Order: sequence, then structure tokens, then C-alpha cells
Amino acid sequence: MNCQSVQNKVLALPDPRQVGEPLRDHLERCGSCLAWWKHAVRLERMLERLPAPPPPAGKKAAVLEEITAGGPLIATVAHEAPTRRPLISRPVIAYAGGIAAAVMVAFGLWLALKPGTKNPPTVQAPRHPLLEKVIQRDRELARAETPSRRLEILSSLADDLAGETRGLARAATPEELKELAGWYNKVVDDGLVKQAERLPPNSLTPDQKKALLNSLSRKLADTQMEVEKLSQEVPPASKPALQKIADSARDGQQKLAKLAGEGV
Amino acid sequence: MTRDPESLPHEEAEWIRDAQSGDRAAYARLVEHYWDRLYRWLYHLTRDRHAAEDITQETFMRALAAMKSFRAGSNFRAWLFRIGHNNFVNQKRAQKRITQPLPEDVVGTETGGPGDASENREALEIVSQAVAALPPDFRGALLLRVEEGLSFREVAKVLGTTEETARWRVFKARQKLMKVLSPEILPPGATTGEM
Repeated sequence: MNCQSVQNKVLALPDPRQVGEPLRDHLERCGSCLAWWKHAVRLERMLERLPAPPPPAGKKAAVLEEITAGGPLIATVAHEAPTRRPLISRPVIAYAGGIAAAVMVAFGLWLALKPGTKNPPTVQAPRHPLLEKVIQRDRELARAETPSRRLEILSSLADDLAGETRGLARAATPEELKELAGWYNKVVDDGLVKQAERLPPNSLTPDQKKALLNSLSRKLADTQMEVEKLSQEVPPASKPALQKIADSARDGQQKLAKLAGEGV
Repeated sequence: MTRDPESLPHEEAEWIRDAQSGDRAAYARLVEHYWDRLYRWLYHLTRDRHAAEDITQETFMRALAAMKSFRAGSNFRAWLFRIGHNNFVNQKRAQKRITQPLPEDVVGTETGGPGDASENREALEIVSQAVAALPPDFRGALLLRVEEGLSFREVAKVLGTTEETARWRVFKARQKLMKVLSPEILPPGATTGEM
């Protein structure tokens, strides 16, 4: 073994300090390799002590508090959704709110009933960030006073779902992604597009309607593009779910663009 | 010194099982156990403590959401760090158009520990900068191996690559550092490495 070969072997070890017999023999006989090896050992020790500044904002405490302080959230959501509906008296608003509530209940049940769940869905369910967002959107929908505002909220809900799917694309199982893709389709097709089709004639000026629908359409086009790009980077089993989202986004985008072109 | 790579294996398995059943306190223990080490690793990847903290937070929330998909008996740390790495990659992609900030000055921020007195602070800073200049893939692999004590196989799992590639990245990272750092920075006299 020549010196270069020995040095390469040392650097390829899991720990350069732990050299085996043949390498040790060489190091004991070769002064320059021994000096080099001492450098390598010192480097390894220094790498273990690389300085890192403390985290700035104390988010660990916030996360721990959020995790430990949560109550039986799923039970609250599952029972709140139906009782909130009477608050939304007008049919169109009830329809929009219903979409968010349906997604919310479905998401809560999904979290609670996924395989491996031992406890009933009413206890100790984790407060999932997406569920928080869906609840928030549901509240916003209940408070929204104009059709255009409701469209914007539904669009944000669709963004939340697509964003979550994108974020989980590499970590979640294909089945979980499929569920999220189904909800995305529901929000876009049954919520966003139908709301747009039912926009009351005098709720906005023609220019305002066109601008709003074009803006929503562009958002869906962006989602389609991003998700299609992402689908090239995920395992094959996860591709269909992402493709479904891209398809839903494209269909929604085309329908909204058509409505915008027609002047609704 | 490898940082406590296999600590509390029995308790950890219990925490994971309980967390998968919806026990928030059990998941909080996992957060307590892994937060600092995940943050450290992400800090060395991002060179930005705000970004590292954000990604750490995001990682634990995503891990919580995906907890039930974790396969019992496999390596939780490797699974967690893999989610962290995915988040890091996503964040990098999202910020690709933003100018990369200069590495933060970490002088005087080291938390300290046994043996610090025998190390030269200046030399540590220089090594730190040399590590920061490594390609991210090499840096990530090297620190998972050296700081976290993961096997090459586990490093490969975290980074989504093969064991051979992981071994190669660690080797190349060490080789580059040895070339960059002069003997003045790495004087042999203080070494206590065993042969």
C-alpha cells in the first residue's frame, strides 16, 4: 500500500481515529503519513465541536406548548361543523361554508382514523397545522360578506391543500397524498368554480369580476405548474396524487378563465 | 466524541409508539430529545440560525402530521432528519432567487463544553468556515456522520441516496478539508487520537 492509498482509506473510514491493522502498520512505519493522520484526527475532533449559535426565537418552547396544550380538537371540529351551518343563512354562503366544513371534518376524521390509531377520534388527536388553516378558512367563510371575498377564501383554502400536499410529497404515503388530492379537487371543483358560476350579477362590476376571476385562474395555473414539476421528483407511487391535483388545478383554471372571458 | 447517537433506545421506542397513538406528551419528549441536534445540523446546512430554527419547527410539525406513517422499528432519527432535509431542500428551492446572506458570525456564540479549553477558538472558526464552503451535499453527509454518528447507511437514508454515495461524500468532504486547512490550523501536537 502506498501513502496516497493509505490516506484515502483513512478518510473513507467511518471514524479516522479507528484505524485497522494494515493501515496502522503503515502509519507506524511512515513518518509523513503518521503526521498527516494526526492532522486528520484533529480535524475530526474539531468537526465534532463546530460552533453553532443558539436558536434565536425560542420556537422550541412554542412548539412544545402547542403540542402539549391541545385539547380534544377533533371532537370539537366534528361537532362544531354541523351546528355552524345555520349561522350561514343564505344558500350560496352555506354552500361555500359547507365545502370548508366538509374538508375540515374529513381531515379531522382522516387524522384520527388512519391505520394504527388506537384511541377513539375524540381524544388526544394532534392539532395538525393544516387542520388549523382549514378551521381558519371556515371561520373566514362564515364571516365573509361578499361573494368575491368568499371566492378568495376558497382559493386560499385550495392553496393550503396544495401547499400541504407539496410539503408532504416526499414524506407522506401515496394513500395520504391521494386523500389530500381528493380534497383539493373538491375545493376547486365543488367550491371555487361553482361559486364563480353563481356570482350574483350585481355583486361586482364586469371589470372587477374579470380581474378577480383572472387572478384566481392564474393562481391555479401556478399550482398546476409547480405540482407538475414536483411530480417529477417524487417516488412513482406518489405521482398519481400530484397529477390529480395538477389536473384539478388545470380544469379549474380553464373554467375560471372561460368565465372571465364570458364576463360571467 | 460522537454525540450520544443511540441514547435511550428503549424509551424512544415507547415514546414513538405512544406518539403514534396520539399521546401528545410522548411526542413532546421526542421534540425535546431531537430539537437541538436537528437545529445544529440544519444550522450548518443553512448557515442561518433563523432559517435553521424555522426549518426545525416545520420539520417537527410535519413529522407530527406524518407520525402514523413512521414504520415502527426503523430509525426514527434518520426518518426525522430526512424530513428536515426535505424541508431544507424545499426552502432552498423557494429562496433560489433571493441573494444568499453572508454566513453569520458565530464568534462568541459557542455553547461550550468539556475540552473546549484545549481547542483553539480561532482554528475552530477557520474549520467552520471551511465546512461552510463545502458543497451542501458533502457538508450534510459529513456532519450527519461526524456530529450525529449516523452510519453511512443511515446518512444515505436521510439524504435519499445510496450508501456508497454517502460514503463518497463524507470522504470527499474530509479530503477537501484536509487540502484547504493548512498544518498551522491543524497542528498535530495536540492530538489524542488513538491508533
